[in-house]
Amino acid sequence: MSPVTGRQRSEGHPLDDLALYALDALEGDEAEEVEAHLADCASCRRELAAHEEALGALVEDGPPPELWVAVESEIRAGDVAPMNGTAVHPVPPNVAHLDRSAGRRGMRRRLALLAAAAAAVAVVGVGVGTQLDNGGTGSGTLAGVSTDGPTVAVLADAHGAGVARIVANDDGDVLVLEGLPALSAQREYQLWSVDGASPQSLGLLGDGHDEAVPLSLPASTAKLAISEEPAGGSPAPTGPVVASGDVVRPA
Amino acid sequence: MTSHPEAAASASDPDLVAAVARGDERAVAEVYRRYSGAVWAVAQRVCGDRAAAEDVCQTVFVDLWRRPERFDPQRGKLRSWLVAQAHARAVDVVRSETARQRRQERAARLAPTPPPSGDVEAASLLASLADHVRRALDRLAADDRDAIVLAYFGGHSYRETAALLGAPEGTVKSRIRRGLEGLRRLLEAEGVTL
Repeated sequence: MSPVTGRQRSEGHPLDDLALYALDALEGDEAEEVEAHLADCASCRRELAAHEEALGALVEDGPPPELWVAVESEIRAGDVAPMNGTAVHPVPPNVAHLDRSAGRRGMRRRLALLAAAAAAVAVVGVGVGTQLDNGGTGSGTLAGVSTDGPTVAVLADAHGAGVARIVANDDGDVLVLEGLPALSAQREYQLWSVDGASPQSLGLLGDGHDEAVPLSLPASTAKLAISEEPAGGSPAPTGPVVASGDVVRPA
Repeated sequence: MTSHPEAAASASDPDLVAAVARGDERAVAEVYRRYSGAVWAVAQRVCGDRAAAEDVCQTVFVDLWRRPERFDPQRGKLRSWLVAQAHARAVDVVRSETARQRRQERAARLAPTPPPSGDVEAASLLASLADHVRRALDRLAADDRDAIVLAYFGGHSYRETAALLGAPEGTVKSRIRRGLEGLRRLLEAEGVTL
């Protein structure tokens, strides 16, 4: 036996397990333990990146597989974001499901997201430091998506009742649905930025059964609206607007 | 948006991903042109199955399009990140397939204790690799190399790898870490281009 096994935790870093993690060779809970450590440990994140780089060098560069047409059509099918101005990524309706069901791969992606928090904030422009006086602070987890963090927008229906809010947490922004009626299979809610002359899609929100939907708000967004659209979304709003509200930023 | 079609071809990787985040399809096409060969290679190697590898490859690039913020340019290179994404997905495919086979085997009450067959599998995996990759791996201790090859290219967990090699799990963990660190030294200190 090598003495390494006993050494690995003595320095406070699970270095053996980190190597196994890089090879995707851990099982279930073990991978999650490493992910929990990685979330708090920048030096292990760097170590993992270095491992991944070495492993990547074992993989030869072949010619591109003839799959681009399939990739492109899937990109186009899911893409309802406008292609001009400050276009924003659509959040595909099944992203939340993917993240929840993908197990350790999902964990790994969330972790990468966490590690990239600083960069992501720079990109989306909303997040750290964004506080709201009247919105309060959300807490807890919905359907596997953390809803901890300050509320940065509340969307209300025609009667002034809050039906959705957006929480900025460490993983990015999360839209929490709190009272929109569930839609039929052929219909879906869609979020819009309504700041400019024409509304810009910020992503699909599902049929109202998804309670928490991860998304990224661009920095320039101040006014939001949710409309009811055919499943798959629309390039511009076609259905009734069911809720609207403002993004509140620090003064 | 990239204003000129030729701009994507000369953009840096982080700039490309930033353009992907702005919804620029040409940027994701350029990322595909650069790295789909490597993504495909690892998916194909681990899955050992063309259709599964195609699924993995497609998913990796569609994911990049949908959630480009998951890539942190501060942390590492786009190529190694994409390869790691593809590897994780390919391993998921292989694991769910092995789990299914195992359930079937248990149900059939087969195989008392199969003899360790890791040496054979490692040798055959190794033989299938490109020459320069094999030469690099051959510079590691044979035990470390076999553990790495079975886990990374065979898609086996360290427990499976230990069973295949007839070695204790703790020993296999150490071998994998030592082997990986050895590879890094080859890359970093000696400047070996694999």
